[in-house]
Amino acid sequence: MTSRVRDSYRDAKKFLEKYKRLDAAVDAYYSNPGAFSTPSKPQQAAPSTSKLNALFDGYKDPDSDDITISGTIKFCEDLERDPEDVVLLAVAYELKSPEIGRWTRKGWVDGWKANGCDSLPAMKNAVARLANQLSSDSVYFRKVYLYTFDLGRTDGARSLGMDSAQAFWSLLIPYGLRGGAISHISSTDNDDDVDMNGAQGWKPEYTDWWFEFLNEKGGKGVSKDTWSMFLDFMRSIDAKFEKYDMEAAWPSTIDYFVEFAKERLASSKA
Amino acid sequence: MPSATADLATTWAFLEEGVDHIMTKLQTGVSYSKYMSLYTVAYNYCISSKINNSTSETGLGGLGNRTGANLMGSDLYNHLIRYFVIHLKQLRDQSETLQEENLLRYYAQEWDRYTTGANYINRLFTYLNRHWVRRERDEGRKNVYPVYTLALVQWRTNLFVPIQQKHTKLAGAVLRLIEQQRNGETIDQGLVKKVVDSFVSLGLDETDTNKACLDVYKEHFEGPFIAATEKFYIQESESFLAEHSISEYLKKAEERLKEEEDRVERYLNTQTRKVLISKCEHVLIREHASLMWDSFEDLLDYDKDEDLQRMYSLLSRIPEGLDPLRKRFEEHVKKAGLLAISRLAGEGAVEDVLDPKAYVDALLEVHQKNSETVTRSFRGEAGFVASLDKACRDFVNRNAATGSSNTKSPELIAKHADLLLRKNNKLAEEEDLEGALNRVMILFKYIEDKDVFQTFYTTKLSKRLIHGVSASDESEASMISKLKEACGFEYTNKLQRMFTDMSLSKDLTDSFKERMQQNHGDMDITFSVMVLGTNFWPLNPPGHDFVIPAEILPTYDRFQKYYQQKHSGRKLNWLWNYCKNELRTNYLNQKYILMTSSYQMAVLVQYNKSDTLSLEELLVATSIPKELMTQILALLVKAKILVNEETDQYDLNPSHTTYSLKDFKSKKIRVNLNQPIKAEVKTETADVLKAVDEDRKFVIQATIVRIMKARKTMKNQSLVQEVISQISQRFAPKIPDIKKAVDTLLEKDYIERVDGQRDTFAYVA
Repeated sequence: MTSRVRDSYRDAKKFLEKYKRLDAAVDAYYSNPGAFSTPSKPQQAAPSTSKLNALFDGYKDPDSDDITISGTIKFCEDLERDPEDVVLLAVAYELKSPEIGRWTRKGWVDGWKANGCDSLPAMKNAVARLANQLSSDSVYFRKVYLYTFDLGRTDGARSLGMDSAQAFWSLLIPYGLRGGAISHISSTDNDDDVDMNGAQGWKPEYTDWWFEFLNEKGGKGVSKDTWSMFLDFMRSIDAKFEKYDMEAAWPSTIDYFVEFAKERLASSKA
Repeated sequence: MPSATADLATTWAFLEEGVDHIMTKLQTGVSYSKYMSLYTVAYNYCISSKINNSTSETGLGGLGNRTGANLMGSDLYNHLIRYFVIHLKQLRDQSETLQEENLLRYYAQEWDRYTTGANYINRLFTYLNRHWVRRERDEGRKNVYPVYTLALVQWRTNLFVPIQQKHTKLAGAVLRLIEQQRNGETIDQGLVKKVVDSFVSLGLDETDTNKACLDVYKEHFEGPFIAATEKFYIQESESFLAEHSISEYLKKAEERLKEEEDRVERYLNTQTRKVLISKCEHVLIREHASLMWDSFEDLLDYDKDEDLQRMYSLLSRIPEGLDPLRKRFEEHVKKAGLLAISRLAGEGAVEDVLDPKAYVDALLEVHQKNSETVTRSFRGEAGFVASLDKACRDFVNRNAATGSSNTKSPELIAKHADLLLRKNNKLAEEEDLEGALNRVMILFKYIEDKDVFQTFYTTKLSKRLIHGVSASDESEASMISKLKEACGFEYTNKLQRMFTDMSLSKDLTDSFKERMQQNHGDMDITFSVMVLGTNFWPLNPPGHDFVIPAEILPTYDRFQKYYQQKHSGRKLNWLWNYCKNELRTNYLNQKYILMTSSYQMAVLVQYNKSDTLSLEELLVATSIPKELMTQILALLVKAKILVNEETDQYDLNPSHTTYSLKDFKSKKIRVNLNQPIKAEVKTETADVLKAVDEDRKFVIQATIVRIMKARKTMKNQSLVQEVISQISQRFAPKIPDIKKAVDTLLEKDYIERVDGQRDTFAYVA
């Protein structure tokens, strides 16, 4: 089973509508899975490279080839977005930003082109669309989530610093929970059996417990495996941590957290 | 004698007279010529093909034409039937009034007479059998039988069945006789056999008359017999158990089963054996199995070997009969083991002072006693051996002395082995020592954390070797080869290397001595050295500085140079903490030899220059850390070598020239001051355990990498299983530790998760 199978039901439906026949739809989906995942993409002339280059130059750090912090701040102002807005992580994913507050020319041009933009107003629209997609589309959320690990990692480090990790989680988790991108998946059938009321899955206060646990435990950073498995964990765990299997392939940090959380639940009941 | 062409009436009249003679008074004899003429008449009739008789051959005429002649016979056959019916009616009438054994006797006697006669009649009508009967049967008329069989069929219909219909008079009488025998009375077994055999003979396979068929036997005898047996033994076993002990019942059941086996031999059809025995087993064993299971522990507690043996062999006859015994045996052994140790731990009061020998002896005693029980009472059956092993593994690793620690038991057993292998051990006599080592190996087999044992053993061995207190090289080698046999080359590799280092060191010391004698005449120090490979010896250099005393410095330097010459590039770390020295005293009237540690020596030689030194001065002169120094000084003061009259001031005793009672004195010329310092003893165990822990992390990671390299991808669960099975030889890895190793390997990119499958790992080449 690949992650494609878990792609949203909506996408599949659109493929079907377009191609009418199932086999044709499936073929088309696998050759270009993204074709319908951004339905509001404006149907207009191809974005202009020179316009994008010009915009890039406007933000570029004069001492560097890239846009750096000050350019980022200015760009955010123009987009009317707080630099700490979670959507910037999606934008970083789209433009293949190599690290926080750094944007390469190639990533800028290719990324905006792919999103069909060559002007600020178009970018604003695109960013609004990305924000929406990030909150509701769990496949897209996962991509951005995983990209964030590499984005936040300092050069050469294997793990993501504890402070950065918690900062990113604070941005991503509440956002994904609110929009449904981190909706609960019933562990019994592993399908897209989305539990819409969310009562049995991850609760916002658990994120605080997670941080508390990590701080108590100490340690320098979060490994890539823990980072990526944690998203799966949030989506599959039941609200009482009862169905967790200590002997399954979870990273041991998550094992210890479950013990911690269970104790916490027990003591809060007593 | 009727002519060859005589008609049926004439023919039959002649035949009937003969047949009746044979059937009723054969004992009076039949002459040969009479028999021959009977035979001939029957023959003649059968070969005569008479058209005028064809009316009575209806239904056969057309078919018989195949052979070119009508086969005659049906009239004779029907007459024979009529004869048998009448004959048997008479026999039946005579049986009417007979009961029980009398009936059986009559039946058996008539059966004999009847079957003998029928045999002759059968031969008389050989021609009929061979032609007419055979063709009838060939054409599908299965109710036409050869004459002998016909006789049996008639017996069954006209005698046997009618008698049986009267409350199974016949079989009932047999069953009552058998019951009398079961109750201890003597019965006529021959009679029973005859009657029972007749039941077998009466069975008839419709398609093949030569085939034995047990349906009559089964229906009329075996079924009721089994039912009666069941009833008898249900009743008997219950009333027996109400009045007797289980031990007696075991005997009784064993006897009864034997008796029933014999019964089959004596007078039953062998096919009954299976159903009879399994019924008896059910009633006598299965029905009382839970009582046996429940009494099992009592028998164990009181060592009732014979009863145990009997219970074992009885329960082994029924399916799953032994399983509860095995389980209970396991519990029993475990309980015994735990009890033995908790008694011991109770006596020892403090866990730390538990005597390794007492501990090992207690474990072994429980093992040996129960191992003997397995051999003696359970015939060494594999299931019981497994129960014993499982129980031993439990209590050897976890008991009152170990608490929750998994390492205590291997530690104690390794310490015991150390004591055995040391000089001055009471078991020094070779044979005993070898036996004692073999017994250690029995327990070793059960140790889960063999790596802990290994580490303690290595540490203890290194001490034995460097202090020269090993009892004998042969015993050391013997123990190592036992360990090697149990755990493989890798397990003992280090141990063997230690011996190599020892012998190399001896050569090295000798050759150094030789060189020094050639070059320096001034060596008044006897020096011997051991050069030990860092990787093989669990020894650590001191964690602090040490000022090498001037007295030994020249020797130190010379050896350093000598060694560098021999092996350039090798680095020597001096383990002062393991060195020993002997000092001669010149300051006392009596000359003593003080046996000291390097640190004691370093302190004492300071007094060559001054009789009184402060703690500070000693610290500066030796660089020994204060904490250690105070312990060294305390020991020297206690031995009265030094006196400590003012705070932090240590004087040589005697520090004055006048004689004092407090002066150092010793009965022995050689004074051993080299006592272990408490802190050292305590840290030893902790160090060993730390080393074990580090080693395990490495072992688990290496094992995972090895497995993943071979398998490429693997599910988490099977990986964990595989790791456990590969490592369990050395120790029992815990799942959280395995998971941590997986975490580490994921982070170091030795393995990765397979895309989209969070419970599957792949090897990263």
